[in-house]
Amino acid sequence: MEQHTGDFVRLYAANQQALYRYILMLVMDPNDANDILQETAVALFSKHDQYDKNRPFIPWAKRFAYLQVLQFRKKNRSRVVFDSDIMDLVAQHADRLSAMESERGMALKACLERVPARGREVLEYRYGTNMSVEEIGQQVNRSRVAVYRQLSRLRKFLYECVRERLDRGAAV
Amino acid sequence: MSGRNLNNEIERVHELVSQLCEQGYEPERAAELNALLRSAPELIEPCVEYLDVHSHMMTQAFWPLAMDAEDQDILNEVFREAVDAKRLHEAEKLAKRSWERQQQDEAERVAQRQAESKESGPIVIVIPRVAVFAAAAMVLIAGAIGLSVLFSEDSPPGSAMQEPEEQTPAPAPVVLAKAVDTRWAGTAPLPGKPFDIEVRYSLDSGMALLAFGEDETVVVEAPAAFTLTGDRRLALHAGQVVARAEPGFAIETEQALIVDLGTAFGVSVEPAGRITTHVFEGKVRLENLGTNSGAHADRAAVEIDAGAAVAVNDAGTVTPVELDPQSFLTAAKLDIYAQAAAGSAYHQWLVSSYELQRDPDMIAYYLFDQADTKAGRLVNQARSTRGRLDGVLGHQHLPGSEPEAVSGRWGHNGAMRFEAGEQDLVRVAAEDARVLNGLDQLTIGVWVKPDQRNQVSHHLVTKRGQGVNALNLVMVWEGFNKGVYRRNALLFHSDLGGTDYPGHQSGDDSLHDASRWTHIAVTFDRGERRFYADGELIAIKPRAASGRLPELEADLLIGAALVHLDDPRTYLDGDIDELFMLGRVMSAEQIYELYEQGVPKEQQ
Repeated sequence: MEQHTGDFVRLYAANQQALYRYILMLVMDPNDANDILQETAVALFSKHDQYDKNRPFIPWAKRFAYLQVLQFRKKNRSRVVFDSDIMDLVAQHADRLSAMESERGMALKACLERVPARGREVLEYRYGTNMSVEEIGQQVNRSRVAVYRQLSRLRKFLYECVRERLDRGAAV
Repeated sequence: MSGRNLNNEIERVHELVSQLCEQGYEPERAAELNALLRSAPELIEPCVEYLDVHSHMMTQAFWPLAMDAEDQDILNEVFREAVDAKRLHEAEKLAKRSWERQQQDEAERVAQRQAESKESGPIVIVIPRVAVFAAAAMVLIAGAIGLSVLFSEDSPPGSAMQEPEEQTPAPAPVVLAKAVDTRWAGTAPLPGKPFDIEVRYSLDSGMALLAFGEDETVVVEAPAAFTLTGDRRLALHAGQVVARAEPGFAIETEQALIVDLGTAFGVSVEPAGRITTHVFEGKVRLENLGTNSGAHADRAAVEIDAGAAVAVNDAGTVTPVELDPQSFLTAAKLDIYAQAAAGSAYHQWLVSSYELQRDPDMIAYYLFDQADTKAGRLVNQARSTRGRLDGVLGHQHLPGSEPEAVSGRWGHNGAMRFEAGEQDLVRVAAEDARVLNGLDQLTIGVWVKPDQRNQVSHHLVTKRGQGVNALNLVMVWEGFNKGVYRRNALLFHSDLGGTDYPGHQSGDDSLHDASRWTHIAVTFDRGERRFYADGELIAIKPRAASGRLPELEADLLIGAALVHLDDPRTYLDGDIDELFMLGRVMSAEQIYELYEQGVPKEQQ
């Protein structure tokens, strides 16, 4: 039993970032995504005895995450981003992207290498230390609007770069 | 996308996503994003891929991938707590079940008392003054403020116990007795204090119960605007109200004065100026004021009896219209909303059911309550098709083939038991069932508790002819391995489309093998079918031969299929509850909510 428990915790730990990404795509707010991830973990752990080790973990776990997203939306109707029908479509496309999870991750890493040093610095402030746009502006001595625009441009570059690499098969 | 620039729209989608990610939720941006994505489905992919880059950056790009020992310990602790919490939850459920049974018994006793009271006289709702203040206080002002109302100067402690003096009573103040999710524009009534006379009140959202003294009530449903114009008089400027009052009570509108003759009635002032009056009990007198009517107005007063309704248009013409009680919010329904808002799971389900009945796209909605199955009929509760699509219980020439009423998922509402061996079914006439022909969107949902001891093909709802391809729709819980169909698969055929039998079923064992209540649903969207069980999507089947339900003249059967009427193995064997057919596609979230709101507590 202890062995099984430890295996399950390790399995969850190895996949929690992927679950977080999935949730974040559906709700957008990182704090909400964290809360939902915690609820998902509790639900997964309480049902761990139903998990079939011969089947992939992520599709099984994502069902729990999706239900927790629905619960969250029900309790927080006033700030859900996607309407119900649109979220269905977003979730379907997110499922498709999950099938290429590692390829997309590798492509993104390669694309990050192509970002100039000043851009990387802004990305590290934003995503590595979780600074707000205002705080980044103070660090790099630029206005809030300028930082916001730079972040938008950087994400756009990464989005196009990942698409291009995957289209060319360069990521694998 | 002809005439549109897709690249520009992708740019806009990315911009909106970026703003929502960086600046948090903002309703206008979210609305614009949803509208854009809905207008062009090809925008979904770039939207999700952009979000994927953002979410990868939030995690993988700068986070350490390896988990350290401390993180592992924390997770182990969470794991242990979750398992312990589950055990605790199961113990709590056992205790709650016993308590809920007591609550249900009490609810049945209350319903019985109300029914008896209704039979004995016209007054159904009696609100003692103290109860009015207490209810207002409880709903509107929590804690200390609520208690202060009970002991305010207007209502000193013990005043309700004093003997009334022999004198002409002063007009009773009108108070807000109950409110659910109310938002008022401009002047808002003060909790527990009387409404002001000659002040216009506008209810933007929610619902409110106004108490005129002890025995008279008016329910206001938003959006609505009204003014209290004097003793037992309310001027309705917009929206609709339901009054239950004694003779002499009046509702004024621009076109008509509706004077109560001891009754319950609803009045609606439509935006275009038309006024309708629906009489549920007793009688009212409608005096046509003919404000905009000119020489042709019918100024004579008319009396309207229970079960009738009339409209007065802008020109002052009075015409009879169909009585529509479901379009009005009564005090009893408001009470259901209030209890739902207070967290009662049963009342939350009632609200959900009530909203479904009022959905304009609802084609048929069968509650299977005992009250709806009198005289051998199963009443369709969908407001938009009410009076049509009622079912007849049983075979015409086979006594005993009528399904019987049984306890439902909540104990005190009904369900029906279909016995396959008795060949039980419900039949809806082909003439009414024509409404299903040619539909390109449909959602069917139903609660079912199959008897899994008997291996039968549980035909839930079917509309088909005798030929193999003569199918409008067939929905089955397969109960045994039958050639290409497998035990505990959910089947939905709209037409056969050749021999693609697996293309119509959800997959082996996608349903469970237990005799318990299960919510199943199927959506049909221009040929694509989605299968749901207990709120979860279990299979997607791509578009079959046709994107529309075929045109077919045949009865709609619940619990059986026309082509197999001699074979007891093709009848439903088990209990069925709350079957609906909606003329549009419900989203996965909406179907999950239906499940969550309707699932019996002991199965949660």
